[in-house]
Formats: sequence, structure tokens, C-alpha cells
Amino acid sequence: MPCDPVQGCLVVPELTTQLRLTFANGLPVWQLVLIGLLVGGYLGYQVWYLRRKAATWMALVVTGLRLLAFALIIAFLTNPTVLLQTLQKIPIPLAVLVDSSVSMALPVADVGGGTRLQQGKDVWLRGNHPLLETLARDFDLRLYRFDERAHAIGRDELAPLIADGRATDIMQSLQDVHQEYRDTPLAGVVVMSDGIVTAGDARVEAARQGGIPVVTIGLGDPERYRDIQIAAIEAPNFAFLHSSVDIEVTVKGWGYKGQVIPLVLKQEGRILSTSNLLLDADRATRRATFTMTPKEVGRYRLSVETPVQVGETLRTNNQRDFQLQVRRDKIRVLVVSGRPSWNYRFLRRALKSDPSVDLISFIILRTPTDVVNVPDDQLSLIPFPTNRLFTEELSNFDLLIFDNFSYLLYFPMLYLENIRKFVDEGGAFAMFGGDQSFDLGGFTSTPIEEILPVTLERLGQGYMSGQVKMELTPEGLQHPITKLAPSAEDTQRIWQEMPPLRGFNRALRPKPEAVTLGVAGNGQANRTPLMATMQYGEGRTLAFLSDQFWRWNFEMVGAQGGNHHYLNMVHQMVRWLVKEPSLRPVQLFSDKDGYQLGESVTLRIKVLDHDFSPASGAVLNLVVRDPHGQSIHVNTLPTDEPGEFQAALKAEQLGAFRVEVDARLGDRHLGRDVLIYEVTSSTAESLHGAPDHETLRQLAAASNGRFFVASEVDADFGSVLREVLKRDLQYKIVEERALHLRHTPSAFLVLVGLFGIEWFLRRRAGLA
Amino acid sequence: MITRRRFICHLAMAAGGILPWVQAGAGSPRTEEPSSPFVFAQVQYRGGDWDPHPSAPVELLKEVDRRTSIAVAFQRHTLTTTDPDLFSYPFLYLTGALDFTPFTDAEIATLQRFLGFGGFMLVNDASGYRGSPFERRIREEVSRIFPDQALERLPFDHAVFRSYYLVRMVAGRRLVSPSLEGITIDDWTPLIFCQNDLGGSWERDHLGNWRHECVPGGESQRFQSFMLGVNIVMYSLTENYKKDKIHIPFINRKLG
Repeated sequence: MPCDPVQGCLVVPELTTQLRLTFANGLPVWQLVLIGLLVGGYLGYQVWYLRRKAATWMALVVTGLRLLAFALIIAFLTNPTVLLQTLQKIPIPLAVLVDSSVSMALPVADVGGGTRLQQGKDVWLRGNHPLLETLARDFDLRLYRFDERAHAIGRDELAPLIADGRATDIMQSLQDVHQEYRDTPLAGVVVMSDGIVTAGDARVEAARQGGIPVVTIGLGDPERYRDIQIAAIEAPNFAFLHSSVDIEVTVKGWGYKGQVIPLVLKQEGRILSTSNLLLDADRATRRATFTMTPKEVGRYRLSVETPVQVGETLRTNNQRDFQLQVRRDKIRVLVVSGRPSWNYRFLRRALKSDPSVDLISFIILRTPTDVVNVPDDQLSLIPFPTNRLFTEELSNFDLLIFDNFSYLLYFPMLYLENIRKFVDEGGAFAMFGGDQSFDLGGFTSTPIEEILPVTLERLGQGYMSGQVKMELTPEGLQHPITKLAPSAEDTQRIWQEMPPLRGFNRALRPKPEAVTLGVAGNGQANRTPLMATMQYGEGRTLAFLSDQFWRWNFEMVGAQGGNHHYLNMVHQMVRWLVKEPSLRPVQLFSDKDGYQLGESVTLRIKVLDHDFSPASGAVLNLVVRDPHGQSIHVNTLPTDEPGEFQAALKAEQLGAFRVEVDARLGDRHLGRDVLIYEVTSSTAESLHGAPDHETLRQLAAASNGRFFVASEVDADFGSVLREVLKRDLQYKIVEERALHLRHTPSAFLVLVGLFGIEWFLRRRAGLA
Repeated sequence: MITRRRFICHLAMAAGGILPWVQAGAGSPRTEEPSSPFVFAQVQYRGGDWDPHPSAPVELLKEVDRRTSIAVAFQRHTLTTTDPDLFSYPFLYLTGALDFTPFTDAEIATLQRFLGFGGFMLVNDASGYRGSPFERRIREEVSRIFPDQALERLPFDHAVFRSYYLVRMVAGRRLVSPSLEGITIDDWTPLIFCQNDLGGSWERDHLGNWRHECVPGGESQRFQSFMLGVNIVMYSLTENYKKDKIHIPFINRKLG
């Protein structure tokens, strides 16, 4: 049978014939009445007249014959015509929409049974007299498959149809059909679906607008559906470091009433927490809450999972992934100052003016030799909680600063080991100079010396007074802490304008792995380091070998009217030390957070040298780990931007991919970065599997249609449809033949015959 | 058995960071001159008498050194408001009893920058009575430096009254005013004005005797005057440190 992909199937409609009698020349009623009165009067007179001369029956017979003759004459005046008509059915326009979204590939009821789509196909195509053919006799069928939109298909495309639509939008698909038939109104629409709407507007009220009845056929069996679905996860997009965050999980169960199911919270495959949830009602949602405290800044892929239960129809909705970006709510800085000083005072002002810094400071206000002359209750001094700070609370800080502070009087060396571990595990430490700092503070041969960027001398030459100007090294010109202007020239100029320091700790050498940012630019201590940084373990450290830092603030105010360079430097120093993501030497970016299967993934890598100049010569090792942990090595190519590289690959597998990049320059390791991206297919369709016949029922009711389950659709569905759509069968005349009776000889002979019989009877009865 | 180090540590915590002795041995800090001492800088203005109590600053500095951990330079530094090194001395002391020549507009602009970007000035009225020519002049000059703000009394929960000692009265040579006045910007008070002649209460003669009697409280009043002086120096170096959250419960407990 020929089918047009757009116009639908061409079905030859049935023909039928019928006879009809019509009158071509109708007479006005008044004429018929007048003729009737005249004929009636005449015939009445004739009966009265003949009864006087003959028997009554004879009078009636003769008059009856005359009546017939007159009637025939009058009939001839109206031109009676017999019509022989050949009729053809007019098909009722009907759109049939078959859901081809992914959920239609799920079993009707039990795992292993036929799919919902197959159930739908069977409704239309099964048996010797498929319903589709039966309906095509009475209806002008237009077939569509639909997912997010409706697409016209031919009848021969129904059998091989596959369920691959990424989402289901019934209302949009109906609109598409209405739009196509805006000039030729449809009699109705049949929607065949499992009722799961995963896109667009699910409000069925919109179906009223078309005014076309929608008959819905529900596929799948909601009563026998069994599934456990992680229905929703409510978690913030970002959380703050060291602050607990609640993750609300909504679980919905079908067919597992009374069962306790385990829930697992994972971070990139690692179990963070578990919980049990009782499904105490069927088809009901239950909630569970996980509480976690992020320990590290970054972007993480988390998932909530529950094991697949026996008999579950849909397995892909037992896990739900989400991303959590961990930021610092505030950068927590602990400053321990050996004594009140301008260095402390201006550092405090700078840190306090930074809204992202939470500053806790302790200043040694009084030494053992100081005499206060008053009872303790007249002093505002508080205990220096060394034990708590350096054993329990240290990990809660991001940055520890020793400002001209010697530990010797206040806590044992054991606490210095805690500080070393704190840095090794990712904390930041800075030491500012002065007469109680570095070697003068007793830090030689302690764990602090190990983490400092400079080597401490056992017999140090102490603190040198006198003016010294800090000169930036080439590394300092590029380093985020000391680069105070976009260009090296401007940075150099700013530093030349900075006031000299009036003292510094000297005779200290930078360690080989340290990066010296500034050196003494003049005097006998020429080129000794003044500012240096180092990576130690996972953390960073800074040594600033002077307690005259404040002069770059206040004396610059006197000289130039502002202190923004100082504030900028403190701001950058804190952020570099605590490894703000934007200051990482190796930064990995993807063009999107998530990809659809088959899309291209573009990765961009920005690499900076230790001095923060672009590391164009860096050698990168880029490894992409697929969801099963298999490694894929991907080549990187330099871009036009110095220090920037690019890599591209295809998203060919579903799941979360972890990208790790490691950068080296010569024998130096510059750093590494990690990124996670996710490849998904049809997320919504893979989450929802329960047939939703209620939506179909409401859709039908809202449009004055009717809902059927698949088993209710039988061979008589056509007449049911006509009833629902309020459409009787309609025909058109394809051929017609007319027989005008007054033009036939037989009609004339009948008239003559009538008059002849009357004449004969009159003669026999002796009437005139 | 408790180790000596642990014992010292416990003592440090119990005594508020104060230890009765210093650890000896190879690890001891070297005896160094303070690397960055506090300098008491006094403003030398034109007209009037800029230096009514020449020895007062040194006496205060001795007490600051004796009582606190602040490293001080024992000589005061004098300078004018046009001195190119003005911004090397964030603490300024301005005192007098008489009227003086108003600051020039340039000097006012400099002081605005000085006090607006973190500098501190202690103004001391040495006259010992209310409404002195110095007081009138200083109020006028302050209104030029801070045209949008007026001198206001500092409440006793201001950080200057608890920066070291818990000070409950504003002492001086004379009790002219029960409170300090100041200009406060945000939560920082860069200028404090005392009418009770603090300098007079600190001053000694060359034989070491107190030069002025403190009226009416005598030596107790002088003692309080030094406590306030120490607190003012401490406040200039630590700002609102004592208003940090961690200090508040301790201080409130002591204040009852």
C-alpha cells in the first residue's frame, strides 16, 4: 500500500451505490392545494353524479381511476426523476502520535518482557487485520512519532521505529501537529505513550486550546512497575571550606514497600557517608539527609547511590550525580605577633579591610620581665592558648603568620612540628622578620626551618639596621605577590618608587627550591634575599626578612598619597599562599561542565613557571580516566597564547571522566591540576520509568477525549473513536445517473391505460 | 611525669602568656636591640608653646617599656607637619596650653592624609582648665582636618580604655574632663584629645621628682594617668585588637 512520509497512507476508500427519487420541478404549495381542491371538487361531484345512475361501487372505481390519472398528470408536472448514485466514504482526518522516547524501551511490566514501544506497535500492527488498516478505511490517518517534537512517519516506518528520543514533551508535540493542520482541522488526535513527560510544559490544560479531542492510549503497566529512584538531590552549588553542608536526597519507590534500602554518598568513587532509608509506603517519596564538611577547595563530583534491587525495571536512576564547588567562605588567617608594632598594625588594617579574610591575631603584649603594677583583674590580657591553637585548631586556618615572633617562651618545639605538618598537608605559613624572628627567634634546626624558603644560620649575623631598598628579581617581576602592575616595566617602576626599609634580617641564603622575589638592592648586604617563597609538600611558605613592611604602606601615603600597592600586595600574598585557584601555576579548563554523548570535548591548559611567567616550553602529561578508571593519553598542542595548550577528544562513553594534567619544565615539576567532566545521554529519560497513565487520563479529559489502556484497544476501536470524536461516516458522490419518468413511454402508456379502463367501465355501466 | 617544657607551657597558658623565666641555652633568643622601636614623635607647631612638658614623653616611654612588650626608642622625636619624614612616624603627640598659629591649608591636607590612612595623633591640653586658648584653637583645627566630623566623647568600652589596662577613669594633671574626646572613622579613632594635661602628670624634673602635682587625686591619679598613657600608645599600635571576639568574654568577666 503506497504511503507518503508527509501525507500519510493512501488507502482506496470503499464504494457503495444507492437509488433516490427526486422531483426536478417542484410546484408551489398553493398551486398544489388549488389543484387538489379543484380535482377533489370535481371527483366529489362525479361520485355524487354517478351514484344516481349506477351502483355505488362502480362510481367509486371509475372515480378512483380518474383520480389515479389526474395524480399521474400532476406528478408529471413535477418531473419525477430516479437517481442512481455511486458513493465513496470521506475519511475522517486523524493524527496518531506514537511515543518514541527512551523510556518506551523499558519493559511493559516485568524485566525481560516486551518493551512499551513494542506494546504500542502490537496495538496497531498485530493480527491478520491490523487495527491500522482497519482504521485507515474510515479515517485519514496521519502517523507521527514524537519525543520532544512530533515527526511525521510513514506507515511502513512504524514497525522498525526505535525508542531513542532524549526527552518527552507531549504538549509541544501536540502543538506541532496542530500547527501542521491549522488550515485543515483534525477530527482528533490519538496519543500513544507511557505518559512520562520529561520536557516542556506538563500542564494538560494547554490541550484545551486546540479544541481537538485527544484520545490517549496508555502503554506500560503502572501497577506492576518496580523501581527505586533517586528522585532528587537538593544540594547547594557551592559550599564553604570547613563548613558543613546538608545534602537532601529524595527517594521514590515502586513495589518495594516495607524495604530498607541503603544510600551511599560518594565523592569520585570514594564513600563519604552511608545511610539507610525505610520505604514505608508504595509510590511515595521519602527523604534522607547527608551532612558533609568539605576539607579542600575545588570542584568535586559527588553521587548518591542505592544498590539495584531484584526486579527493578530501571537501573539508571539508582544513582544521581551532582557537582559541588568548594570555596572558602573566608580565608582564615592566624597572625601571631611577637610585640605590638607598626608592622602588625598596618598588616591588621590591610587584612581587616579584605572582606574575604577572617583574621584571628595574638600579640604578645607583655613579657615576663614587664612590671604591670596592678592586679591581674585590671589588665585586659588573655591567655595565649598555644595548646589549643597549635594542636587542635591549626587545621581550621588557611594561613599562619609569625610576625617577629619567637616561640621559645611560649610553646615547645613539638608544636613547630605540627606547623610543619600543617604546611605539608596544604596549609600556608609566612614569617616576617625582626629581632625575634628567623634565627634570632630560635627557629634554626627546627621543623620551621625545613618549611622556610631560606636557610637559617646557627650563628646568624642578626638584624641589620640601616636603609635598604628591595629590588625585584626577574622571578619577582612575574610573581603574583610582587607583580603590582600588568607590565614588568610598570612593576619595576612601582618598586623603584617604594620607600626603603630601615632594617632586615641578613646572612640567610635561599634554599635551592625557593623562588626569591626580592633582594637587598644596596649596601653591604647586597643581593641577600628579602622576600622568598617556596612550595613545601602541599602547602606554600613565604619569608619576608624585615619588620619594616609597613613603610610600603604609610610612607607611600606620604610620598604618593595612597597605599593601594601595599594593600594589593597583601591581598595577593594571602591568596597566593592559600593557593587560590586563579593563582595555581597549572590550570586546566574544559569548554563545558557536561557533554552529551558524541560531543567534542575541548580542554585548555594554562601553564606558568615558578616565577609565574608563561611556561611555553612545558611538557605536559595529560591523562583522561574513563568511568572505569582506564587511562587514555591525550596529546596536547600549544595555542597562540604563550603558556597555553589545548587538547580535544570525543565524548564517546557515558559517565564521569577525570582529567589529570602534569606539567614539567626541564627537570622541574611545575604543578598539576585535575578536572572532572561528565558525559550524559538523556538524563531525564534515564531517571523516570514509571508509566504515568494519570497524565494521559487528564490530557484526554481536558480535551474531551478519552483514555484507554492498550488492552482496551480492539478491532472495534474505529467505531469507539467515531463516538468519542462525534463523527459519523461521511460519503461523497463519485457517479450519478438520472431517469426522468415523464420522458419514458411506459409512463404515457400507464396514463392512457388508466383513461382506457375508465372509458371501458363507463361504457359497460352505461354511463356517459 | 610532667616535663619541664610542658610545665612551662602550662604556666604560659595559665598566666596569660606570661612566663616567670626565660628559657636558657642554645635555643634562647639573642639579645638584640629592638629592630623596629616605637618612636614618640611630637609636633612642633608655630606660635604658642609646643613643648610645655619636655621630659613627659620620655617618662611615658620608660613606663611603656617597663610595663609592656612594646620596644621603644627612649628619645622623643620632634618634627613639624611639613617634615618630609612625617609619614615615618605614625604616632604624633601635639600638646600646648596657648593659642598657636593655625595650620596652613597644605598642612591640613597633609594631616588629613596622615590621619586618614592609619596615622594616630594624641592631642594634650596642658592648660589644666576648660576653654583654654589651646582648646579653642585645637577644636578649630580639628574641624578643618575633619570638616564632616566633630570631636565626640569616647565611651568607656572604647578599645583605648582596654588596650592594655582596664582603665575606668580619664586621669591627668587636672581632672578637667571625665572623658576623652576623639574623631572616629569607621571603628578606628585616629585622633584623641585629652583636656586633663596627661603630659603634665608624666613630667619629672632633672632630679627625678614629679614636676607637677596631680589634683585632686594625687599619686593615685598620676598612676591612672600613666595607665591611660600606656593604653593610648598600645591602642595606636594594635587598633581594635582588644575588640576582637576572642578577647570579649575575658574582658567582660574581669569587668564584672
